[in-house]
Amino acid sequence: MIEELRAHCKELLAGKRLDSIYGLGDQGGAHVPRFFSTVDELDDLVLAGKQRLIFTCRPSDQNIIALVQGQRSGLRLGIVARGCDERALFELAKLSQLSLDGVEVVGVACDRTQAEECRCSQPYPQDPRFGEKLEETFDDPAVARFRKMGAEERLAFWEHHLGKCIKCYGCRNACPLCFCKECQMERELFVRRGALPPDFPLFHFVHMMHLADRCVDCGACEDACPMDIPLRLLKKVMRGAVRDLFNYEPGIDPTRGSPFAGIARVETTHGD
Amino acid sequence: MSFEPKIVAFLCNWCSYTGADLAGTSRMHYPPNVLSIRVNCSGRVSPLMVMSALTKGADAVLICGCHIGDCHYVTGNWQTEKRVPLLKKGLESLGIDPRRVRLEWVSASEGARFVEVVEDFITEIKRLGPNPVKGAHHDRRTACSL
Repeated sequence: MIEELRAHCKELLAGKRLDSIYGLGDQGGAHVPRFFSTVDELDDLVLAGKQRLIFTCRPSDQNIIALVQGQRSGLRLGIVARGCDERALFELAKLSQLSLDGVEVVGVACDRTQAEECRCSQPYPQDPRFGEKLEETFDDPAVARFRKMGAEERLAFWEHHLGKCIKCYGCRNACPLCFCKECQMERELFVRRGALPPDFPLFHFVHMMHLADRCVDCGACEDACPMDIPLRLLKKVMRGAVRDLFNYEPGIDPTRGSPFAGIARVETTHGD
Repeated sequence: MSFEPKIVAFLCNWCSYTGADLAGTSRMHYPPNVLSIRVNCSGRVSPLMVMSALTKGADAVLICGCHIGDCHYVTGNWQTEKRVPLLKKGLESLGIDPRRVRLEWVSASEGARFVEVVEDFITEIKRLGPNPVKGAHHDRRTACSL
């Protein structure tokens, strides 16, 4: 598949249809996101397991796509995106963090092993050029286990896990949808400076509420966490809540905005 | 001593605060468990403020705003209407009873209704008992003072 992908991308660049391609590149064995601007460079293009493209805004103030788009207007950019990458792109575009004009998504669907490893709810982009859409769902067993828990059990579960937090802000920094310049997780009104572990549950509650309608279920927060806090479970549960209440799933439809994004009245549909 | 819940009430300036005021000026009695905070609009109440109140000592949070369609800012309480159900789901998934947060529409002329709402809420919270995350804040502080 990777050979076909490289050939396709080379064709896009050689035919002058695109100016540059953003994807994962092999650099001495390490897989890092980079831009490919010439055909020769594309020999280094790889698809690497759990590794994702980077759209985060930290440490710089803007995400990389917006930065490049700002420097060169009219740039025709190809992005080698898997399901999670594409969902993040759509959400960022909806939130005006980048523009989808001139962006062509080269969709790659993940294979079964990858989807299972990632516990992915939708391991394919909208229109995969490579690979096949896997229609079965790879439900996270942790979510089903969590749903069976009672209130006290849940509280104990989170007190234990969130109590491990060392407040490294890794979850926030790795999140593709966290781009606020002034972060509420740093605000002393809600999160006291110097307290470890951070106040339960306020610190994580900020992230969880702010991402409820934009989390694309990529799992970057959990991968980034050095203390193995099941952050993705928290996000999946909130994603589920938004789906039940508003019948809305972030990242799926690039044209439909979040119910919380506008000032319009949206009545809740009553889920379970 | 029986459990006396502490309730933080976010009241919108235009309807509910005036409603609560009316209850006062009409000499209606209601339990002193409610600590009211005046906000410009119920749409100003962020889930973080509610959670903040819960961790810092409140047993429950009451949010009151104008009836739908009567918002002074036209769309403010529509936002509250969307936010509160999600907040409740969030509380539920953390293991906090979502009944500890209540959203009620109280207009400026509904002083009696405000009293009713408060009394009913207090009865419910008395039944639920103290909030489990209250004070989690301070215990932890001592547990790990380096």
